[in-house]
Amino acid sequence: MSYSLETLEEVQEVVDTLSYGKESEENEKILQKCIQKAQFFKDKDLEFEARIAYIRQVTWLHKPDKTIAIFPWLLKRMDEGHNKNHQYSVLWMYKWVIIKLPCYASVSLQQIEDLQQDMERRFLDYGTGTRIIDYFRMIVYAHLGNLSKAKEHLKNYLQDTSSCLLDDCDACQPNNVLDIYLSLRDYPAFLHTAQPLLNGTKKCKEVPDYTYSKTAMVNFLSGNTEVAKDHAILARKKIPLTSAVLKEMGYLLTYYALTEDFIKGRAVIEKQIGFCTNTQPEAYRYQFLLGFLLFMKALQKAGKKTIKLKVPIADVQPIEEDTYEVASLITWIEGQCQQIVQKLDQRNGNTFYSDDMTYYLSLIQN
Amino acid sequence: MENSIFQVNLSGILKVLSDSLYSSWEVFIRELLQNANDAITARGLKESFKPVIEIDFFETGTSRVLQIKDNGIGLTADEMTEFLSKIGSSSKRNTSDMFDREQQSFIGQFGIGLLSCFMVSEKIEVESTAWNSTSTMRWIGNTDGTYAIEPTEHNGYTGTKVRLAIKKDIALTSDKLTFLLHKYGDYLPVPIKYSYNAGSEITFQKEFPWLTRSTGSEALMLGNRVFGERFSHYFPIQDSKGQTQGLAYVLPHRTHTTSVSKHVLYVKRMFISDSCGDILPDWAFFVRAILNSDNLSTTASREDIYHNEILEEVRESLGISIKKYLKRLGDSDPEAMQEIIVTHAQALKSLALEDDDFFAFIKNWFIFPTTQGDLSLKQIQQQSSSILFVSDLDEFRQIAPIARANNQLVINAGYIYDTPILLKLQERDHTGKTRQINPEYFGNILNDIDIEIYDLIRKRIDVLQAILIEFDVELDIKAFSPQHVPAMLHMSQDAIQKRDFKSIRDESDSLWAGVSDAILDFDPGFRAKLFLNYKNEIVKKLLYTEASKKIDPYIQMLYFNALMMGHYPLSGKELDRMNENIMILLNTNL
Repeated sequence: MSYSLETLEEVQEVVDTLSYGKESEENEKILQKCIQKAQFFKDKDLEFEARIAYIRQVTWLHKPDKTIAIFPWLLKRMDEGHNKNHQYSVLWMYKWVIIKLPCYASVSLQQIEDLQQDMERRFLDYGTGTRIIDYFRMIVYAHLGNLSKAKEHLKNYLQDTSSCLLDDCDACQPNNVLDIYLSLRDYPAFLHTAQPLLNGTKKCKEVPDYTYSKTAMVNFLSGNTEVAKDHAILARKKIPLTSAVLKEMGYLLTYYALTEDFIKGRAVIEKQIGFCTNTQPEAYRYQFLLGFLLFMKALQKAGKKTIKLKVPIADVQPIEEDTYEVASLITWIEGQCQQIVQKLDQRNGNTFYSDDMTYYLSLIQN
Repeated sequence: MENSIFQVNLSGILKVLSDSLYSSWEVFIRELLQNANDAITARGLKESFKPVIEIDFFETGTSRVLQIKDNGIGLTADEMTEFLSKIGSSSKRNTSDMFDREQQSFIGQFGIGLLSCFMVSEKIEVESTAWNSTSTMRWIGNTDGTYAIEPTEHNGYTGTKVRLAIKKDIALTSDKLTFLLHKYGDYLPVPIKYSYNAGSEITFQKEFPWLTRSTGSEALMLGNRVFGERFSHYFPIQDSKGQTQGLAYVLPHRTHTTSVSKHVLYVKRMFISDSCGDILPDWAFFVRAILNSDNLSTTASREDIYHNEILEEVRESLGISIKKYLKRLGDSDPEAMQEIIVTHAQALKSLALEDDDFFAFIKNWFIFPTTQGDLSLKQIQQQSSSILFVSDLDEFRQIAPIARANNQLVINAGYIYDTPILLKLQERDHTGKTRQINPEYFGNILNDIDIEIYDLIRKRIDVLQAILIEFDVELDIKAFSPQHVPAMLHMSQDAIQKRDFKSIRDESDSLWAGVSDAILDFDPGFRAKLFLNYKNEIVKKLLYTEASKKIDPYIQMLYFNALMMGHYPLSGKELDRMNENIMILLNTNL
């Protein structure tokens, strides 16, 4: 098949084909071209469909900045009375946007609150009921480090048994609840909630594949070392490292640091560090860099002074080709982590992230 | 607690077999042939004899009786009880029985084959004389789950006879039976003799063409008949152990990479499937194969193969076999190779991307569209000192007339797999002659204008640059052919996307605009580069016109025209300005 996209029909065909196609850098580029072509042909409906397909691609490729950049165009067009048949898809994508916003330190609390209210209003108009609102409030507050509010909405969410068309799937919902228990360090509740995901009762495109890294870490911290080991293996096997999976790999690096599995940990660092750029939200970068830091601290504790890394580390000079001083890396990563933590805590008006960093550092020190 | 035995509801089991396990009632022929063949194989381990399967079909009025007789090892009364009356017991699986030594020679092993006869008959009658025995036993099984065994008059031969009274609703005719015997029995090692109403006998026995000295046309005819195609290329393939062998046919027409591959598979000479898709690698979608395997296992229904490590190994080594054939063909028959390359370019390019050795062998055969027409890589290397390729069709369209006029060969790599193939070539080309380019690169290698001329028009160029700055365009001036092209534009995909994001941000309400500002970097640098052509008359007029003349609409229109020629989208602002300019220019000239 050629992607010459010479005619409207060709563009439409490619958009249709890729709308639910497998996510890949290649498909992202083709859909980007489809958006341009739809603009060139001045076909707004086709442009709308191409943008919807493009957002799906970049969301699954873990490029939230692109999702957020394009989403307002869809919303505006719908508010102008067009493409109403895509209302469900657009509202669904709003969920992808709202859970990423608090992860960017540069988005203010007011902006998050205003957009959350906007989403809630649209959801209620769509007839969702309030359970889904509690669910997303719970997620957003957890990202903001406001655990008391997160707990409050978690309680409401768990008590309400209603459902709606816009609910996350049966696997994603408990998977997101796990993050709350992880932040609360309520590991028994975490492991209990994880059960149906791990025994195959509930699964989806990403769950439990993307769950294994955090269950590896929590199982290890709960003393279930054999289970933790299995889950770490599964995490490494099931999560492709060809796109940014910083949060998941942050947990896995923490596990590797705690178990001193330096060879596997280094491979993860080499494959993911290139994705730890400014386009990724600070909260995700923090999780990865924290894992990286713990890993280096564990390496130092094990008496290693240098480490070979096949990829360049920004601002850190290798002492010889591919070889870095562990102490220099620790200084740089710690500085990066602290900068991010400061930004997030400052925006959130609490000390959640600095407390979190202190807690994990204490695990390595002890 | 006392253990109990599971109770089996035979009619329920039969329903499962007919509704869920087997795709149609026709498979009972396969099951009977298989049992007969396995019994003959077992007797062959004991003594030499002349094996045969005899099939008689009697049709009188509304009555139809089918009888299948083999001169195999036969069954004793005990074996009848064990193997015919217990579902799941198979004489070919039990390690303690007489068939153990050569178990892998048997086709069946699940102990459910005979039950398939209940799909076509209410009653199964089996008469058998075991090897080295002089007594004959009869076993009668009914659909209600009952059965009886009794001695019967010795029939004078060693072997087994199965007799079925065909149900009224089963559309079994002599023609249908002949078709089924061809389908399932043609390649069995034992001859099958068929007779209708005690008339003349037809014998079914063929050999796979790859095992005989058959001519090429016979092999092609077989492929054409089986797949309904008009093949012109075929070749033998086999796995590394030689246990899966057959013929592969190259499809004579283009097929999509995602099309479903259907191959014909025999296991131990018994037909299994004509829609087996897993036996060859995915990339081999341009090939259809007829194969016989002695090492693959079938599923319980025997209509598909079991997915295990052996299948993986077989698939991989059959893939190697296909690659070897293509390599040989390239040396021995370049024209045939070229025909295959042209027909199956996508598949072969996809394969070359996965396999470095294959890439090294085949790369020079690949054909690419270029500014000089379609050329193979080998021809490109002969005609040009460098291999320049453009990954975007719109960019190629811009570059092509200029490249042609400047006698520069450029490849259009905008089609699927072409860019990855050429990037792979670039990686391996240590001379640096293979390069991915864009209009900017091309613009930069075009001729600069004379420095004195440049100095003369420098102020005017600055003025033009200042006009275009609001559209984030960087201006450059070159002298290139063809003369009629006034300008060439380059804008990277990254830049186009940032323009798009900025445009969305500008049109959003303050809340979303604020969020976009917080998250995105809109990159304030130059985003597009416009190369003006000094040889073009309009450009010259623009450069040499009086300083007092308002030239904004002209240079802007050159930019908008270049945008459209490159199929780049115009922003709302650019579109508005273009419309304004058209009005100005019309007004000026009318």
